[in-house]
Amino acid sequence: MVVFIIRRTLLMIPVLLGATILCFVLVDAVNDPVQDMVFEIQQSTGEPVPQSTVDALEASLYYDRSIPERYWLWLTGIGDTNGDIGLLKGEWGPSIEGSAMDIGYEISTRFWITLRLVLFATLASIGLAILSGVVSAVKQYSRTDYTLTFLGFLFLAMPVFWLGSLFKEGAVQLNKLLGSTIFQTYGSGSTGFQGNGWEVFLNSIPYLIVPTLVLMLGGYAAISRYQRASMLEVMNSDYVRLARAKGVRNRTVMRRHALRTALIPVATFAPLALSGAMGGAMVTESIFGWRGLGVYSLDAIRAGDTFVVMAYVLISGLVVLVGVLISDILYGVLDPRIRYE
Amino acid sequence: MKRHHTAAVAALACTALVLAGCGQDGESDSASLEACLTDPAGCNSGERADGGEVTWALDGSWGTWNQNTSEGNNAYVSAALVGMWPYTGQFDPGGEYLFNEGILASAPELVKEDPVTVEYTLQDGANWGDGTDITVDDFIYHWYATSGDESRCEGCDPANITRGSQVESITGDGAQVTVTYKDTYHSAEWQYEEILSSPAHVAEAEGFDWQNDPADMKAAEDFFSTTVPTWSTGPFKIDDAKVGEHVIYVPNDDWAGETEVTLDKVTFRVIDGLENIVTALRNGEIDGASPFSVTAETITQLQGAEGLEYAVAGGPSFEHIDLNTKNEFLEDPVLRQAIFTAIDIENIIARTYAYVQSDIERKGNHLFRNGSDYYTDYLSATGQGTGDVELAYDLLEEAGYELDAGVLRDPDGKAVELDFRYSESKENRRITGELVQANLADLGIKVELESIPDADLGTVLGEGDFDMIDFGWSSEPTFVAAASQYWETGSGSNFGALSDPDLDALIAEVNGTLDIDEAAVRANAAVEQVVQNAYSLPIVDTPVAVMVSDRLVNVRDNWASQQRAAYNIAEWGVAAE
Repeated sequence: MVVFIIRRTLLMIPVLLGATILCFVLVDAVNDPVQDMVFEIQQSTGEPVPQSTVDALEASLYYDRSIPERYWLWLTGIGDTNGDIGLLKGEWGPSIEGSAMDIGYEISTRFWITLRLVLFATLASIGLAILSGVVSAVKQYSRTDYTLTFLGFLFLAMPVFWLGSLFKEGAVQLNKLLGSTIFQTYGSGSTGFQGNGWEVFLNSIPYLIVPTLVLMLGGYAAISRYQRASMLEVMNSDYVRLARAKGVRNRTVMRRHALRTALIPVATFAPLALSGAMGGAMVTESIFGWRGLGVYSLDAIRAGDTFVVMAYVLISGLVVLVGVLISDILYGVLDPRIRYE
Repeated sequence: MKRHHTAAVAALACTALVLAGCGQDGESDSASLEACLTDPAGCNSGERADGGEVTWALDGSWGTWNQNTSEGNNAYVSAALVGMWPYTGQFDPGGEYLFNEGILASAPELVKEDPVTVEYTLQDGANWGDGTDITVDDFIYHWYATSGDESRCEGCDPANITRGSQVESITGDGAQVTVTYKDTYHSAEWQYEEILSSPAHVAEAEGFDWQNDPADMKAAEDFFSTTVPTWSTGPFKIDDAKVGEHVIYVPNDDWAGETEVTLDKVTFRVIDGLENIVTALRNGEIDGASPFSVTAETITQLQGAEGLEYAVAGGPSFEHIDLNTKNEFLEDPVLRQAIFTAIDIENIIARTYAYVQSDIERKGNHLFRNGSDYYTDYLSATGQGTGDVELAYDLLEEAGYELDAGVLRDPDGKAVELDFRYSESKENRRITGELVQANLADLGIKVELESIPDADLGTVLGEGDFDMIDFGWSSEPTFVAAASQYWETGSGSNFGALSDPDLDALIAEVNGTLDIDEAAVRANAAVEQVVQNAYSLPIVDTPVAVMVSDRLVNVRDNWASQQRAAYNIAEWGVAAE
């Protein structure tokens, strides 16, 4: 097992390097943020931008270097730098947003914001998926099964941006009806709120409810189908039939024999779902104003903010790879038929 | 704020600031936004109660705290810092310039014309909110930071050095500060020049020897870029802030201004997207916003909302179509003239901007807004923008162009084909392109529409990668530098590469007088010459909206200020019962 983990961990390095090179070239080759910044300044001041300012901008963002040199500096920080670049030295590079925007700080704080959002949503969607999947399987081809299947496909088919907007409007109307502000529609907490982790969580509850519902409903259907199929397979297996033949009560058969085994696919899928949601929550974050990793990356891609995009690719890539690794390990732990050598 | 009546400003007639829609039917006195139609600087006014909190949304973010720098020249940081920044003053919605009462005791005085020498009188008790008075050193600090001179600030990247590079010396005697400019400085807008930015004493306290070491001056600028300002020269001071996300203000008890601040707390928070802003406003999460865009859907949502007022009017930028004179066809002024004549601007307006601002007017001058004292319509008489295809074709026929089976051919027999580019997220610009395409099809010109990713607009313009393009320029009341920026041969912002020696001579004259009225006359002569060149066709002042909770008073939009509705933040308040 240890050898397996080490081998898989080492394999992550070339995968991540490959992903970063590809992304760097793609983002860098199609953007010239300096020229766009110059245009914006001209629009704003109504006056020409001095060449010395353009030169200083290029130098501060490393756009006076070639693409390979910029990538090398981003990765290693070895060379002529301003001391703000070099992953190996703990520097993520400058953002075109401005020098007060520290990419490392932004990534670290936004990671937790996104995690807070997707963790609850993923846990809730897995819980709902297990429940509906099991009920559907136990009551196969009944009206309940068809209803749950219909609802599952309905939420799966709804675009997240549409579902999000619908729920937001619903929250506004409900607030009006109740004469309260229970549901907040934008942001992840009160503006400027500071406190410990628990206080931050409590403060974020009004902001968490609606986006969690949207993410949960948008994500549970696929897992629910897994759970239903898995449960049906187990319920038709010999050892379940044997348990029934021995006279064990149906509820006990379902809970102790069938469900435990049928949970294996979902349990191993959960880390993947969580890591995938970490990287894919940008639509929900945009709609509900959660300033997490997704929105950060989306803004960076739009603006051609290369070093922010690189940071996002690295972090999200790492999260997905770790998710895959945990998923693989869980297979071995939960399923006695699988052994790692 | 002290009101300084000056003829130098492009003062607007009330009818120029037409409002297309106002909430709360039935109200028309000065206590509603509807009154902005006739009283742009005094509408929605009222008695304020003591106390109260306001949360205001900004529809964009910022990445630095220092507005001197290129990265800090951003309308959103300007709005977010409006409560504490040492502005010289602001134009109000009526086009009147209001000097900052917390800093200046009176309007600056031109004490000598050659060289231009301006004397500033500091307000009694003008200070940085930390017990330190504003002094001549602060004026010198700002000069060095914006000088563009490596011997004063090594490696600095100021957004604008037009004023800083022209300062010869700054001296002070108590409350009197005298700025002497170089012989080459002759701006008619001398009194609006920004004179302060960051506190020199804070730089010194941080150990920067900015007066003697250009590298330290740069380090001080970097410090101010990354440090949340705890100092303040305005009616409020920052209590909490996070770059690009929010600024929370509490009253600044040391403010030297006379306007009484009644609010206990003002929060500026970033909300991305117009839809999100309107929803948050309807849900009571914010009290108002003046975003830089407005759509018909927004208007519909606001119309049905309770407890809100809104107004739509021409904003701080204007739409225009530019032609690239480097194009093999468009280098011919006759073709440019014919194209502009064939384009039907009124039809474009009716199918785009009129949906959000029903009484919007076509813009007839690039530098002065309709209704300004200096406004003259140079376009209508030329036929440009009328959609007169027959007149356009007559012009072309006379110049040797031929229509061959529905295809326009130039005198060399080449079929005229052009592209039209626009920012992909701007729906109105896409529709404008389609209408231009249809207009020019009648003339036998094939036009291909090509969208531009929003972040690439600057690149496309800078590289001249367009034949025709629709984009926006600032329409602020200042105009002296604009003509040179837009149209002078070799200017980095003359994206279509127009080169006309007669126009260059006219532009040089705009910068050669200290008399604002004379400068305006010369600027208009430059506009007339540009129109003759058929280089740039203005469409409208881009409509923007202000949306406000009806519990607030003294909140109104201001097209003439980067801070928009926050320009008079000291006067904001919760309505008295």
